[in-house]
Formats: sequence, C-alpha cells, structure tokens
Amino acid sequence: MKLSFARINQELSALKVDLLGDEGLRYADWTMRRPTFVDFFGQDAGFRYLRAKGNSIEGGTSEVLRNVVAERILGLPTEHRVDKDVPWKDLPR
Amino acid sequence: MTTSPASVSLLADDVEEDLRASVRRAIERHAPTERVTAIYDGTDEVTAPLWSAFAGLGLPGLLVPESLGGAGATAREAAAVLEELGRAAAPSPFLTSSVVATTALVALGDTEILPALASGEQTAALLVRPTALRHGPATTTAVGLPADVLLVPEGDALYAVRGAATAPVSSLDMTRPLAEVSLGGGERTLVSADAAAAVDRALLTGAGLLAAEQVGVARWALETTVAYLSVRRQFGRVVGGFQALKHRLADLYAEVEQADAAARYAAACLATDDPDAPVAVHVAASFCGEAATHAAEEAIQLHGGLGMTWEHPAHLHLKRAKADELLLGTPEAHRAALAVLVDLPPPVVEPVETPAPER
Repeated sequence: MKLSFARINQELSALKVDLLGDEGLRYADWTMRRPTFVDFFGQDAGFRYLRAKGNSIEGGTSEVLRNVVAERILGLPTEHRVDKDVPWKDLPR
Repeated sequence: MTTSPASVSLLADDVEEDLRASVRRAIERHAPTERVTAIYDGTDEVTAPLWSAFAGLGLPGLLVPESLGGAGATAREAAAVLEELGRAAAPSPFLTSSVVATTALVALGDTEILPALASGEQTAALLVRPTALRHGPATTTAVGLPADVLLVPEGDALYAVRGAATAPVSSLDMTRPLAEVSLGGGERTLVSADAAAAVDRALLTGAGLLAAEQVGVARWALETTVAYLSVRRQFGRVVGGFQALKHRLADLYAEVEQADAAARYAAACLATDDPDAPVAVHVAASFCGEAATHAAEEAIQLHGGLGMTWEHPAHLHLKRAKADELLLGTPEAHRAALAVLVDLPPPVVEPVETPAPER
C-alpha cells in the first residue's frame, strides 16, 4: 500500500502543478515551519509536489519496500548479504 | 546556402570550453550553494554580484551585434552559459534579458535599448505569461523582474516601458523570481508597430536555450547522485553496487545524453537560423524539461533522507527543474506545437451522443 501511495501521490501532486501552469509557478510562503500535524492538503500545489517526494523515502524507502514485497510476498530469493548475523562493529567499512 | 546543422559537429570546440570554464568559475565564486539557498530565506547576495561578474565577462551582450557593443555571438555560446547556470541552479537575468528580450530587440533592429543591455548596465524583460509559447497579450505576472525596461506586447505592437512598479511574488523556484507589475506609472515608447514575429522568435529562442539550462540541471543531478552512490555504504556495501540502482542510473545517463543532444541541435539550428529550428526547439523543450525534472527527482530519492534536507542542494535543483519545465511552454504545449509542424492530424473531436433519458 505505501509503495503505491507514494507513487500515486507523487504523480498526482506533479500533475496538479503542471495543470496550474502559470499559477503552478507560484509558492505561498517559504517561511520555515515545524508542523505538529499533517497539513498536506491545506497547502498549495507547489508544497504538495515537494512534500510528496518524501513519501517514497520516509518510513521505509520504496526500494526497501520492493525488496520486502519481492522476498516476503513473492518468495523470491534474497541478494547475497554480507551484513547478516554480523555485529555492526565487524562490518567492512 | 548556409551549412545545415545536420552536417555541423555538435561537439564543443575550444572557444566553447573556454567560455564554459570562465562562466563556471564566476558561478562557483559568486553563487555557492549556501548563498543560493539563503534566497529562500529572503537574502539574495547572489544575483547582483554574479551579474556584475557576467558583465565583466561580456556575457550580457553575447547575442547583441558588435556594432551595438555586443559580442555578436550565437545561440550556441548562450546555451553554454545557460547550461552552467542550470548546473548551479544560480539566479540570473541572463535568460530573460540577454536571451529573450535581446532576441526580440535584435529582430526588430533596435539601437536604443540594446547597448545598455549588452553592457549589463540595464536588464529588460518581455512581459508575457511565464508559460507562454507564442506572442500573446501582456500579463501582470512575469519572470525576469525587476527589470529596467519592460517590453510590453499590445496587439502586434511592442512598447518599451520604463519605471513601472513591480512587486515580487513568492515562487516555487526562488532562483527565478516572479513579480507582479503595474504599468500605470511607467513611461512608454513604441519599439515597433509590427513585432509579433520578433516576439515569437524571442520566445522560440528562449525555449530552445532553456533546454540547455535543463541539461545543466539534469547533468548536475546525475553526476552528484553517481558520486554519492559510489561512496555511500549501507547493508555492508557501497549502495551503488545494487543492480536496481545501477540500472536506474544507467537509464538516467542515457536520458541526459539524449537531452544534451536535443538541446545542442536546437542551439545549433537557432545559431544558423536553420528552417528546422522550430522542430528542433519543440523537440528539445519537451524532452529536456521532463528529463531535468526526472533527474532531479531521482537525485532526491537516491540520496535518501539526505536529499530531503535543506542543507543538501538537491531541492534547489528540483525546484529549478520543475519551474523550468513549465516556463516558456509546458512539454505538452511543445509537443502539440511539434505535432502541427510534422503534419500530424489534429485530434478529431467526436460529438458525444447523450442517451435520451428513459421515461
């Protein structure tokens, strides 16, 4: 679900900016904010376009989620891992 | 018979490489990332010093004839400048004043305004809708402001207005600010009564050279992302080694190279006034706009959480790419214009039959 949500939200928010044209080039306010609640829909198209980019990174990147889907749901084999069952301090860095 | 761009090398020659190197040095000196980012917080310490440096290099007059104090250079040299501006997402009136407004004035044979534009002492902006592809009525919101001279279309005529009041508008890409203008108090002089073709030419040149800027944005995104994925370690290995990411970057590389070729061909056609110029420009504008946005989006995603931070410059390039994509014609508008030029039939609108309501 999250994998699809991120993609759809990014495509939709980009489409909105495209459709607005001249208006899409505007941006309401660049003042730094630290919102304490999700105010995605109260914002303008430019904000939503930029904010949606985070959807495929935060809370599990889409790349990691695809691995989870491929391995846990589809049962495909995992890639060779060098970091499994090895303490972090012993990992090659 | 001039040489057709089809037989011209699109590779950069020594002159172009030298020009590119001086432009890059000026940008690195006057437009470092922190200072460009500060523009979003309301402090612009980049535009003015960078413009002075450009004036010192003679860049504002690249497209102005030598008899009017310019360099008499071609669209190819202007494209090299724009590619460097895109690479740094640096703010500059170069596109709006030295390319679009200058092209219109050169086409109209102006000798009054161009000398001051060539030296960089003054800037000009064409007052059309930011996303305009063709000559159209003047607007109240435009890019390239504040400018000393506004070129205002009115019907087929073009007026030069000085002293008009402008008010900045917050924009998605603050490195190319928008402003509202009220022409009331300005002083108007007629530039030409028959300027529609010149304005179209200016917008076509602007769109074709904006493609070079988009290539700059895309190339920065690609190179920065490749460099990061070559050193970033996760899961006990360098993440650039994961095939899923390698393939994405290989695809992106192919896309950026295609964009580069399209933009170079457009600049070469504009430089020689080739009849293929409109086709070349619409191809470049529609392809490069989307390529730059795609590259910047990939840069954000592949930098992971780091790409979303204010401190990393990826956001500057994403905003520049998205705003550039709409500027001077959206990719859709350019494709629609291209379709007409390559004789594709227009869409057939079938009348929709509404079924009679059941009784």
